[in-house]
Amino acid sequence: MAVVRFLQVSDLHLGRPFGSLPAERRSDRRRDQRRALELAVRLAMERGVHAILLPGDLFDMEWVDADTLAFAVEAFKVSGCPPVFVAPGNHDPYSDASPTWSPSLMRARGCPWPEHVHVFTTVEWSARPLPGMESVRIWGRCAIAGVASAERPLGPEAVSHVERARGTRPQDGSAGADVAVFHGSREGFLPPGQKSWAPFSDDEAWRSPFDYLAVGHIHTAQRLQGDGAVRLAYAGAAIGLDFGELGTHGCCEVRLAVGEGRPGAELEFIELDRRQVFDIAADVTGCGSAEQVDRRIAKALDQVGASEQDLATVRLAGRLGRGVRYAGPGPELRPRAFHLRVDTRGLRPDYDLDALRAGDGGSTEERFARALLAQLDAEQDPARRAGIEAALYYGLDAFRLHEVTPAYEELGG
Amino acid sequence: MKLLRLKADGFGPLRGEYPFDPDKVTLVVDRNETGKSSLLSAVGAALYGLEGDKRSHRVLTPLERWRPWDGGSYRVELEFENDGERFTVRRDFERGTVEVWNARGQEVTPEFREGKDDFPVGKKLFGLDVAEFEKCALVRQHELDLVVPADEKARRATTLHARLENAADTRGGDTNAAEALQVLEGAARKYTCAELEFTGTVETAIQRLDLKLGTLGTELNTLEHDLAQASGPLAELARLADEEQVSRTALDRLEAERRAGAAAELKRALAEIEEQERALARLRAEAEPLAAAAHLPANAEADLRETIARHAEAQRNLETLEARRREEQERERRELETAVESLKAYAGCGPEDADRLVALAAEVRRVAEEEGRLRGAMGGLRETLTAKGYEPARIEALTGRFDALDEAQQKLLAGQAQLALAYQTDVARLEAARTAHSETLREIDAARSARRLPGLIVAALGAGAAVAGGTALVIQAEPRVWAPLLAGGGVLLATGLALLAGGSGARSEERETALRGLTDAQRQLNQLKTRRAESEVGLAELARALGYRDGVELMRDRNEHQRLMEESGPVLRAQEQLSGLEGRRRAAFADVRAVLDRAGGGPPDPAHLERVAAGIRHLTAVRQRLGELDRSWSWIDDEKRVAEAAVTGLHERAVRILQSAGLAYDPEKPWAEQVQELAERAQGRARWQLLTDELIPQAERRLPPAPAIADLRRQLAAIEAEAGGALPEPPAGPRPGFDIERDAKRHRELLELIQRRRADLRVEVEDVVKRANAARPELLAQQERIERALERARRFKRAVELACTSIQGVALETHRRWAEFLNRRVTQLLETVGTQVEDLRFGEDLDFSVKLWNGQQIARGKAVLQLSAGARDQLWLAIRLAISEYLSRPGCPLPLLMDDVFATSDDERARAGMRLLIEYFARQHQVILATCHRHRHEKLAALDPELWAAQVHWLDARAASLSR
Repeated sequence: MAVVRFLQVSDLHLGRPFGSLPAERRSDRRRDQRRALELAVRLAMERGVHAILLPGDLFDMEWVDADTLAFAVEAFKVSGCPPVFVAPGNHDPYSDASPTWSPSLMRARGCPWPEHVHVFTTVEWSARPLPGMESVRIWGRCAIAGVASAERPLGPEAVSHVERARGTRPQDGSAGADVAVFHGSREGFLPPGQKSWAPFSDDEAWRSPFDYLAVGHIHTAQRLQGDGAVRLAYAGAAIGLDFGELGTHGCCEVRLAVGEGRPGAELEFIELDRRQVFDIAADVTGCGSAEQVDRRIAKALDQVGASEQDLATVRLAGRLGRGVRYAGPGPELRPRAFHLRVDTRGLRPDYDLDALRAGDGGSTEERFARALLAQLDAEQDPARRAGIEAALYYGLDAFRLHEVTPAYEELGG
Repeated sequence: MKLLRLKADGFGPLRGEYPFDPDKVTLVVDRNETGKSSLLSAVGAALYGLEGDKRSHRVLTPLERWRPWDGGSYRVELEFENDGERFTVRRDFERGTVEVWNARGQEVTPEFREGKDDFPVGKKLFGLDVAEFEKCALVRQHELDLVVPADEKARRATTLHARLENAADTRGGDTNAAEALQVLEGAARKYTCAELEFTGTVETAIQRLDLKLGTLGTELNTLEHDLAQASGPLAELARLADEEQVSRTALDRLEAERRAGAAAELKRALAEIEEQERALARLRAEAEPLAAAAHLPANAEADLRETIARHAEAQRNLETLEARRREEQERERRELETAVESLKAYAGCGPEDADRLVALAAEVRRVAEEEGRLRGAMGGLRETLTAKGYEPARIEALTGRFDALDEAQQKLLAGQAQLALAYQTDVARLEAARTAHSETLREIDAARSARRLPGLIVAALGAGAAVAGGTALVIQAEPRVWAPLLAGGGVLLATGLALLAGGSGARSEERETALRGLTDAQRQLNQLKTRRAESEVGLAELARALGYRDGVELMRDRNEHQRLMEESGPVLRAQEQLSGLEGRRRAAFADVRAVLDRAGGGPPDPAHLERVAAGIRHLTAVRQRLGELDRSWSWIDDEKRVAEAAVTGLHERAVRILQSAGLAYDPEKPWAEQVQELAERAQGRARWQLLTDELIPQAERRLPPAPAIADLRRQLAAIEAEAGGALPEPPAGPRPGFDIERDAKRHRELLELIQRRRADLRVEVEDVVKRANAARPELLAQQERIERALERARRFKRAVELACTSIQGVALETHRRWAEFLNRRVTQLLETVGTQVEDLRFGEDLDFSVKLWNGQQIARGKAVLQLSAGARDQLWLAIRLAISEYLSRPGCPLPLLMDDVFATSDDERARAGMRLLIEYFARQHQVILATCHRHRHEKLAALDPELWAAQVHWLDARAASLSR
């Protein structure tokens, strides 16, 4: 029995603008991306894998600058780098005119891909034997520029010729393995807000003729496994690209046992991103100043073990003291994390709405509050509810504080 | 609800107990700034507590404001009646405690709890919070005027409207709907958009954000367009890359052709070189067998012939030397054997005997010379002693006498002088000590005697008196006679005995020391004398033993002997040396005799001894020469060995000459044959010389140097390697290099053109991409920020608009309800007091109009001007009362706490106002009016004495405070 080893890394999104980060942090994060790719190649060499599988979104866009392109090419040119199989994703789709994948244009731009980097250039599945282990075939398909992919890559029609090709080798699988590399969405597991691309179901994955499917697109690691073996896996984004991509990020080593019976894969996750992404809740009820809020946030960061190199979203909740405005982290809190995003949508001013609701409506202020509370109770749409709530607080601010400052536009949740 | 009593134990300036009459108007009179206003606040504080939250009261909280001015306790206690039941509420603001007790002595505090630890007693009683209570029950100084200001400008500010609205709109706060709307509208007018660095109306901000968003969209589209435009140059770039490939292929082909021509040229040159190498190899092959004779010297044959001749001559010389050595050796042996025969007397002696004899001869001579010298010196010394009178016989006699004495006797004689000297010295010292001690003893004894004498006298007198007394007693005389005598005699006797005892013991220690010193000195004197006597006895005995008359004579001879021995010392030492020389001579003669006995005898004089020694040495030399006779001819052996070496060397040389020519020496062959063979070898050497010196070097010079050949081969290998293997020969022979170079130049120029164009295009494309990638993230981020800002602004606008709409709607409804109530109630109240106003109408805007008694309907503005002052006060009091009633619980009339509300009114207005309160309002409400104008109210009371006496309860605040 032989063991075929792969390093699966995807969704690097090189050249990403990182607009959600402050300007001074973007270049750091871009450096983190590059470091992750270099580290992945080095790990592949150190671990002696047979190939690197890259199921899409190596680049964040079709037109990456020459520097980023040259970096990616050079990263794979390093001596000793194993063969690389790239299946372009929806962010860096393939076309004959693709400035990142077209061999002639890459030559024209002065940085052709090395020989050992194979790019799958068709939407249909195509195969390449694994150098040195000809019985193992790497199947791949690419995303096509300008075409929204609703096609099911693991549908019976799409994989029929793979089935036929698989039929040419012994059915017990002892003679080799078929490994798929592609970019697609696992139905039911796509995070909210992410665009579906080349969808497939778990059932289709199980029925597919592939012994292992290396998939990209979903940025958090996940796998489909049964009978002690992994059939399909997302390595997730190599580094955390957004605040919604929580936890650690990296690649995984796939060990596919080829021999008797159907090949079975096992995975080992390897961390590439030195930063973690956290999503933390902090109750700031009773805080009488912005500094107190900062201290509560710092405590929440300590509790989850976030370090100064991590990214964190802190969701504030509770009622701030009357007249307290919280505009964002202060100078003492800011260095506490690589970047700290504070979500104030859960914050409410310290008005006793229950008392207003239970009052006898003797004053205009009370009656105003009750009128808006009634509207709020009747409204189901979250956005409209947020608007009514903001109007309520602005009115109460006007009555009680004689001052109205924009503060409730982020209300929600 | 009726207030009955207030007790202030520290509340601002207030300390004291203030009773209120529930059925009358309580007029609290005091000087200004002494606490009458505080009293009204204390009532509110007792009912509602004091707030200490700094967030609501940033400058000064009520709790801080009313802290006692003189320090100390900070408490109030209020007794009141509500719904037929009495309560007492006690608040300690220092401790933050509150207690409520009913008339039955039960604590009912928990009944008034609200929330965690709040006890708003007033709210539980009246259903009003503290702000509402203040609005309804408290009418502060100047407030009455403010309701309807005298000043026209102030009136135009719709103060009435504002105040009514305040009362109508607010309960928990102090902002009415109009103010709240103003705040909201102000916020919408002064909206700050940080993204645009703009402050203005929210509508303008939204417009500008929209515009900015559009601009950013355009910029992003421009970037996308630029990127799309870059596709064209990129395709051109790819086409140029293909053309570049074609040019490179053509250049490669030309390069291959040039390479083939160069390779053919190199191969031809290498073939010629190989032919030359073969010729050279042939010459070297011929020279190789002749190389054996290469080292044969040019004159080897002549050398061999000469060496053979010299070898024969050397053998002849060797034989001559051997014959001569035999003859000379025989003649010398005979001469030596004759000399040995003549010296045979010394045959028993050896060279060491000769050395010994020479040494003894020298010793005998030295002893003789020394003896002569000593004897001369000793004669001189003896003559000197004789000249001094010393007789040698006397000296010898004394020496013989005293040297024979034993050690004890010698010691005795030697110690005489020392003993005599010590005796003289010690005796003198001891005698002096003995005398000194004797003197001391005498002096002490004299002193004792002097002391004892008075004692004896007194004792005697005492004894006499005692005896006389005794006698008188015996004779039975009068007691007055014998008693004094007995007593006086006893006393005197005792005194006398005491004096005697003191005198006998005086200086006893000193006397003891002197006595001990005297005894020691005497004992040492005795010892010295004894030792001297023993010595003199010993000396006398020794003198007698030696035949002297006494010790003195003995000591005189001894002293002479001592002096003589010191003077004749050198003579004695010379004699001792002579004795030593005699010993040495006898020893030398004994040795000489032992040697001479073995050498034929003879006298032991030094000359003879030296002759014998010379004979012994000669014999030894002859014997040695005889023994070395064979060795003395060894020079002939040396010469013989030289000759033999020459013979051998010449033979070896001849053999080497043969070997150097490659010939083996055969001892069986005659030298002539071997010389012939050598001659043949010399001819071969001449041929080798020709080959190596001329023919081979010439062939080598014709060949290129090895590095050049290697370089040619490397060039060929490199060309073949570049071509990927052996190059085929051009079918029609290589083209001329000029043609190839011309074609290559043309292609290179074309390639350069393409590359330049490619570089330009690449820069152009990369510039676009770089610019787009550099600008796009920031534009996207900016777009996102602006979109968020726009959304925020829109939400803010919507929220503020919704808040305004809601407040307006609610306020209108509130005002309508208020208007209905006020219209009805104020009219009722005014009817009660019979005012000029017949009817009053409030609108939804809380402004009103009045209908006068004459039926005239006038708006508020005119009414304020037309109504008399008293009518206005009645109107405002009626409105305030109506507001209080509206806000208070039905059937639970609130007390009215008024703080000098008529302070600014003229006397007529004040009288009318007071009458209104006393006659009408006090019937339904408890009225407490605080004032600092005592005299004015006394005058008012004087104007309506019956009314005031029946309905007004005067309360002197200062007296109440002092009474405490």
